[in-house]
Amino acid sequence: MPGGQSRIELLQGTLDFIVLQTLRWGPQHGFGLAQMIRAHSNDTLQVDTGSLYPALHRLERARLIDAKWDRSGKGQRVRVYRLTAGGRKRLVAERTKWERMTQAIAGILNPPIAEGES
Amino acid sequence: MRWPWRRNTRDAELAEELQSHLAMATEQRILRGETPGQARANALREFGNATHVAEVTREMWGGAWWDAFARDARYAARGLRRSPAFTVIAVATFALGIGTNTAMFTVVNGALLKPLPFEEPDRLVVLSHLRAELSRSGGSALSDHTFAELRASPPHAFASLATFTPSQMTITGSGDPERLTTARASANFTSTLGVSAALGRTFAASEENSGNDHVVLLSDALWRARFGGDATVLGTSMMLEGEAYTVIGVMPPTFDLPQGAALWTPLSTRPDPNTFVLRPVVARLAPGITHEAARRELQATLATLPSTADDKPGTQVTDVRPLVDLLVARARPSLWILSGAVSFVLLIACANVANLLLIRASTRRHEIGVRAALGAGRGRIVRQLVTESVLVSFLGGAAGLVLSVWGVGVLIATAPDGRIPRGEEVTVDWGVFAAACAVSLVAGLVCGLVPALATTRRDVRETLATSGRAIVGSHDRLRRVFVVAQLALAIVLCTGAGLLLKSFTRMRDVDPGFRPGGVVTFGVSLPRATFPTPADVRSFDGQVVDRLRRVPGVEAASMVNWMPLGRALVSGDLHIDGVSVPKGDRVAKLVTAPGYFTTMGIQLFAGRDFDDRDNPSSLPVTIVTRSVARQFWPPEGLGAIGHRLTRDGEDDWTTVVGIVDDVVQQGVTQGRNGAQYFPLAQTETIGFISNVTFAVRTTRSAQDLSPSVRAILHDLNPLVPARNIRSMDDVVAASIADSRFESRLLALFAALALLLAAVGTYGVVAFDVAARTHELGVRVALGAESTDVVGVVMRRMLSLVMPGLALGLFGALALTRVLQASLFEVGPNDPATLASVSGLLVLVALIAGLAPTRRAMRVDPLTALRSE
Repeated sequence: MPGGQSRIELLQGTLDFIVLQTLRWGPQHGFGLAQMIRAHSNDTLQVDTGSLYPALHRLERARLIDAKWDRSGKGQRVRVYRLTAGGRKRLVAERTKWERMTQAIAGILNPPIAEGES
Repeated sequence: MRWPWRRNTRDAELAEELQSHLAMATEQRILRGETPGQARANALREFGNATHVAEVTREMWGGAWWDAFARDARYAARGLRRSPAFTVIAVATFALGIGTNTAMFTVVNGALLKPLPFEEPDRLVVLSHLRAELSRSGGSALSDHTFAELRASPPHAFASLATFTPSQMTITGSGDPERLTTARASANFTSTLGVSAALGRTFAASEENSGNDHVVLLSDALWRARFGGDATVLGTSMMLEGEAYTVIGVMPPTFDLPQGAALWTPLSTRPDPNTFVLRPVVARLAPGITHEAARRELQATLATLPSTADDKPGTQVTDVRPLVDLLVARARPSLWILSGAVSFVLLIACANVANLLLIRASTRRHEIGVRAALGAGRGRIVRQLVTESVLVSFLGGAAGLVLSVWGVGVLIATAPDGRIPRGEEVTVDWGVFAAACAVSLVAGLVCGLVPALATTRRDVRETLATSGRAIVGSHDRLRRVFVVAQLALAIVLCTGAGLLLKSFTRMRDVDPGFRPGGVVTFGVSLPRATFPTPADVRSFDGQVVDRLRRVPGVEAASMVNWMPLGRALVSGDLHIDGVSVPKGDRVAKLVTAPGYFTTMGIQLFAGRDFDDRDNPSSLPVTIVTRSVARQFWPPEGLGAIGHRLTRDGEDDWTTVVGIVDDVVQQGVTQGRNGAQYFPLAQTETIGFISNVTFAVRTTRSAQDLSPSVRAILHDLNPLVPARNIRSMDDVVAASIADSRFESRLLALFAALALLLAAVGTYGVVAFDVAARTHELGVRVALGAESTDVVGVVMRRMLSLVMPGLALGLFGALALTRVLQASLFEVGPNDPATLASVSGLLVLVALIAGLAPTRRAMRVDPLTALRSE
């Protein structure tokens, strides 16, 4: 998939945050994460595998999540990721940052009307 | 833990993880009602390129670069094994390029770059205040008077001022008498350099004064060779020049200033009011003082000193130079020129390998296209190709390093004395190793990157569509640029080498004014203690000559004080009775025994040689050279005979009895010297005759004659050794050895450059012919004669050679000026040299094109067309 590389750069911070946030609902494998992200964002965010798996392995390496092999409901061997304590701590920090960021952007998009102006 | 050997498991796990993703996606689609086939296809499409996903994911693992590198290296090694011809040529090319550069860098590093083995060598300088022309020729010295005045009230810029002078002494006593290279040094010489004795002590200030000055510091080498490294030598006395000296210390092995000094004795720094001696002066700068600040302060101080205040402004050059200049000033320019030459060889080698890689890449286009189609990004493929070229460059670098170790040995062994200063520091060490690695890496990167970027620029689809056939026009321009650049660089080197070789030939062909063939010479120094009066010296010299004449195979024998092409020469003013001589007209003043001119083969034009009639009580006589006679008694100078000239003073008159040919005294490039000869029998100045050279005209070789020479000297006085028993031919050869060394070395580099350029030209033309087999086949099928085919190939050749030639000649015109100082009777733009180099290059290019041309002529139209 040409261009995948540049999209990773573009999405890196955001995607990491989304992955951590989604894993808050419980351990999940890569396919499940992709489905959940898509569902939670009302099909707005489509994470391609070329970004998702690098992100998962990167977070694993940073010890924010860990992974182990498990069986899916259908007996399929799957690699399941879950948040570590460090991952939770990072998520709180990131969340605050993101909330502040979204507020700021919202503020820029809808500037409050200053008082005293005609 | 993520160890490299766990990679395979991790790779398998990743594959399984991605596989499970696909399986689940397919399953979900089937649940949504797609047929299994449809579901699988759609899931795959949605998933994207699995190879690519695996690759970018792997890059997130720690140490992925190593993994990728190892894979690339394995792949590259496989590729290189598959094409041994390419590998051998590329590695050999790099080995030559990197080997020559490593060897040259080893020399430059040891001789010029390594810090001197003294304390804080950056603060050590040499002071100089000399006539402009002496300063330009690399001299650095102060007069003894100036030094004494400076030391009495030293400028603040200098923490310490010391001086020394190279000398020679004969050691006698334990073992054979031996003539040693020695030095006399001021008492603070070692403390200024920051070196203390390894054993014992260095000089005390009082030991500069006569009476206390018979003390000696030994070099480590002399201490081991002559005294077996025995520490009890301290306090004992040894015989130097027939006088007893007390050994007070042994210097560490690294202490070697002046170079090759076997021992140091104290130098009296109190100047003699009647003489004027120039000596090197070493100073330690006060902390924080720059060379320029020191130079300004020195200049200001000199303007106030009695010995220098009256110097005419503008005639003298005051300088403060790094101490290392004292050792390397003579060698530095040529070392840099040779370094430039080898860097050209490396550039040519790089262009060669880059071209080989380009050609290789075009034949591998299909393979590269397939890899790209399978999901390898451009960066990945470029990295792959560059890994290959770096692998080649490191193989070449390793071979080059071996080559350079051998090369440095040969270089040091063949270099004339002093041409490679600080020889003991010239070794292949870690610095050199690191430099070789760096050069290999850069060469590999540069050579690999250009072709890699050029070949991967094309679109995947286009590459695959053209199938496996190489495209004739592809990267044609880039390849041509490389070959043209190679040829141009080779021309510049060949021109430089040609000019130096021509200069050397000119030097060899100089008529020195004497006939060196069949002459053997040796030097003798007579210590003042054993030979206190001129009569003692004259009698010894006379006896040696007499005995030499009786040796079988000797036709003539004589002696001279300053031999032609020797180290020393004394010149003096000319005073002629009744003729006013322009001030500054100086001639060499030489002393000879009878028979000197016959022995040396110097032509006697008129009058007579000195003979037994000339003795201390007879009429003082002199012989002048033809140029002197012609200048004052034109046109032929015959009128000189019978006229009176002084020796050196005002009225020590001598009468001219003969006129002889002028002789090259100082060096074949310096021209012949006008000279005035005096007979040994009438010479009273002992300093003129205690250091002399005996000359023997003989049918025997120097080696053959030397036992007789040693026996004669031993007979007459066992404490006087003969030094440098050698043929005059060797003396002449040694005097132009620098030029021979430099010209041969540059010629070697030029030959390498030419060889590489020829290989490069051959490669490109051969590839062209191969790639155009089809086209040539069509031409032949349409009725082209073999001459037409040759024409096609030749035009192609010329289109490379002509621009290369033009560019190269242009470069040569611009660059050969740096050789000016080494050239003799040849201009830097010598047209004959440029013409022969151009001819040589065209010839070499034609030879390189021969094989491809023959192949082109043999193209069979049927085969060529069928290969379609």
